[in-house]
Parts: sequence; C-alpha cells; structure tokens
Amino acid sequence: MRGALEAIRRLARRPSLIVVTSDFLVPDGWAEALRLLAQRHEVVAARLRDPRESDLPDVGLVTFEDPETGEQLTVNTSSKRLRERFAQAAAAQAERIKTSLTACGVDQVVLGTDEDTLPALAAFLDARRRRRGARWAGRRGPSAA
Amino acid sequence: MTFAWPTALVGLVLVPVLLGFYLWMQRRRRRYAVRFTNLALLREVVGRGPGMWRHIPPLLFLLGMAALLVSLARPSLVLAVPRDQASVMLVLDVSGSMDARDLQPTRLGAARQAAKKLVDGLPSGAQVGVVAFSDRATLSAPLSGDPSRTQQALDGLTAGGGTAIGDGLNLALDQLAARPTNAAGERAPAVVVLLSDGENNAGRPPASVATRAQQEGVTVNTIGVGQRGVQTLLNRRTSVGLNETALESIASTTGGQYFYAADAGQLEQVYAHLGSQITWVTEQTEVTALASGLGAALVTVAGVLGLGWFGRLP
Repeated sequence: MRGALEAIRRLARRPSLIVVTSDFLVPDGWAEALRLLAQRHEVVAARLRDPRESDLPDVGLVTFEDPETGEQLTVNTSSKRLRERFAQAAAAQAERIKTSLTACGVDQVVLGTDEDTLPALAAFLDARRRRRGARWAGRRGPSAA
Repeated sequence: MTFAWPTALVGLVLVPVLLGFYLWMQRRRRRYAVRFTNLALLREVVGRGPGMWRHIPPLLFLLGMAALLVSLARPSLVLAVPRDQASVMLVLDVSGSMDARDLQPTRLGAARQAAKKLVDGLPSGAQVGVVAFSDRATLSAPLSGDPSRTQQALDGLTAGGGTAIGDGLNLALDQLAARPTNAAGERAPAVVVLLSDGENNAGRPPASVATRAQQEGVTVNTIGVGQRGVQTLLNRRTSVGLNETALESIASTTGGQYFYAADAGQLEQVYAHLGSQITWVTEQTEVTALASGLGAALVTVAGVLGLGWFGRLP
C-alpha cells in the first residue's frame, strides 16, 4: 500500500480529496506515506471491515486460508476462550488502526463488507463536506487501494 | 494370543480403509478452506492451536474399531486366573532333628510359620489338611474347607522320633483320594507340600508312594531343610543329613518341584511361592468380552473427547 500512496503523492499535483479504501491490515509501514500525503491533500480513510472476521462463529474445527499468502490455519472455533480472545484482539487492532490514522491527520469511516459501501461512503463525505464547508467541491483524487 | 475364529481378522482391513478416508478428508478440508483475510491476527491469538490434539479423538476411534474387529475373532490369552478349587495336603517332618536351631527359632518352628502363611493365602474354596510324620504318620488335620483346623493342627506339632517320609506321603494321598467332586464331576487339582530334613528311615519307601501319587494325578512338591549330607547326633540316634536326591525324585516323578531352604526367610519364600502356584493357574482364557469392552470404551472416549473438545463426533 505504501507504494501506491507514494505514487499518488507524485501524481496528484493540486491539493485534492483522496479517499484511501483498504482494510489497513497491510503491514508495510503505510503510516508514514499516508502522513506525508495528508500534509498536502485532504485524505479520508475508508476502512473496509468484514464483521465475520472479528467475530468467530462456533462451528467446531475449521481450516482458514489467507487468500493473499495461501497460508492455512486449522482452528477450533468451539473454544469459547478462543472466540473471546480473538474478539478482544480484533477490537484492539481496530483501535490501533484508528489511532494510527488520527496521528496521520486522516479521518476514518468504517465500511462493513456486509453493507452497500458506496452509499455509506457518499453519506460520510456529504456530512463531512457540510461540516467543513464547500472548499473541496467535487474534485476527488484517484482512490488508492 | 490365539483366535477361535481367525478368518474374522480379515475385518481388520477396515482399519487402513478408515485411516485412508480420514487422511483424504484432511486433505479435502485443506482444499476447501474458509477465506479469512485477518489470518495473521488469528494466528497470533491461536498460538499453537489444537495442533496434534485434533487427531486424538479419531485415533482413539480407530483403535477402538480395531479392538472391536479383533474381538470378532474371539481372541484368547494365556492368563493367570485364580483357581477357585484346590486340595492341598501339607506334610511335615516332625522327627527329633526338627528341633535343631539352624533355622530360627527351630526347623519345626520356621516350617510352622511358613506353612501357616501359605494356608492364609489360599483361596476361600480351597481344601487343606495336615499330615505329620516321625516314626509313623499321623493325620493332624483332615482335608477340609476350614483353614482354622489346619492352623490349630500346625500349632500343635511337636518334634521327636524318626523320619517316615513314605508313610507321611501315603497318608496324605489317602486324604486326597477322598476329596470331593464338584457339580461337573471334576475333582479339584491336588497338591502335596512335603517338608523334611532327613532321610527316610522308617515305614515304606517313598519311591513307591511317589509312583502312587503320580498315578493318582497328585503333584508333590518337596522342600528340604537342614544339613545337606552331614551326620548329626541327636537323642542317641544317628541321622544322616538331608537326602536331597530322594526328595528331588519324589517331586520329579509327580511333576512337582524340589526346593532347598537354608534359613527361615528362604523357607517362607518357598511356601509362599508354592501357595501362589496353588492359588493361580495359567490357562488359555477367552478374552473376547475384554476386547469388545475395550473397543467400546475407546470409541466412547473418542466420541466424548471429540464432542467436548471440538464440538463434533470424530
């Protein structure tokens, strides 16, 4: 993600509104690039969240697979302790991301994958614009993933 | 282990089939894994996860199935089984030399102690009696199911006189010949435990009595104490020491064993050993029920663990 952010920084000449859509679970140090981007532009982080992935169901032994790395993990979801610990860890992780984003000067809107993202995003931006005035009228920079 | 129906063992081929199926299912699960993008976090939380533990319920299940399949073939093992019936005649030498103190407290005292312990250890259905011999043989306690009579008889033994091994054995055989038959018309196994410290010098020769014992199916175990091959002078009667050859011969003729005891401790061990031989018999026992029980237990444990740990039957 860092590479993409840096590319945007080079390409976007005029100060723009940039919406970064991601789950922000990428561990490649995007925070620094994002902060630099936010210095010149107005950046909104649209954090994608799959509610299933912070709440494990109780369905016995399941093998999960990471779609990017192909790694697999077999887990006993019937363990209450495991489900609780995972929920806590997921919440802590969301907190960390939010703190990171705020430290970069970036607003966060959480979009669930179980809802229609575009209307939700539009509503957020609308409310935001009304709050801040109509300075950034309609000019949206290319969205970075 | 031997089997009454060995062809049933063919069923064991089911075990590798089940194993193969399980391994195939494992591979299939890996192919149809659930998509999860936040796997890294899950991995941190899980740590090692169930790891090898998830294979335990299916493994137990497989072992249980194997035990059940084996039980179909009706296995039997050579096991030590408590003998519920036995007829034992204790034959003791009460000649004068049995007062000697080379065994503590005396030879007779040590023999008395050891014999009483043997009687204590017999199963409740056993019959026991006592014959004492010096110049002649005396029935101190007839063969009966009441061990207290035997204990009393043993307490009442006193030493004095010669050594009539043959007569002692003969009297014991008379008692055993009259032992009862059970409902199936069978007679309990008969055993004689004969102790002496000398050589036959009165009454009939032991060799012929040993033959009688062998013909009547009685096992005679002999125990020797005292001085091997040495003469002692007691009460103006010269007694040759222990004649081990004679005692050995009596034992081997009847399928029994000969033992020598050098002190009271060894004597006790010998009696204890003979006692447990009488109490326990090794025989081919069918263990089908045991195998089925084990199989059922394993399968149940597998089910319980599977449901308890992982929420599903293995």
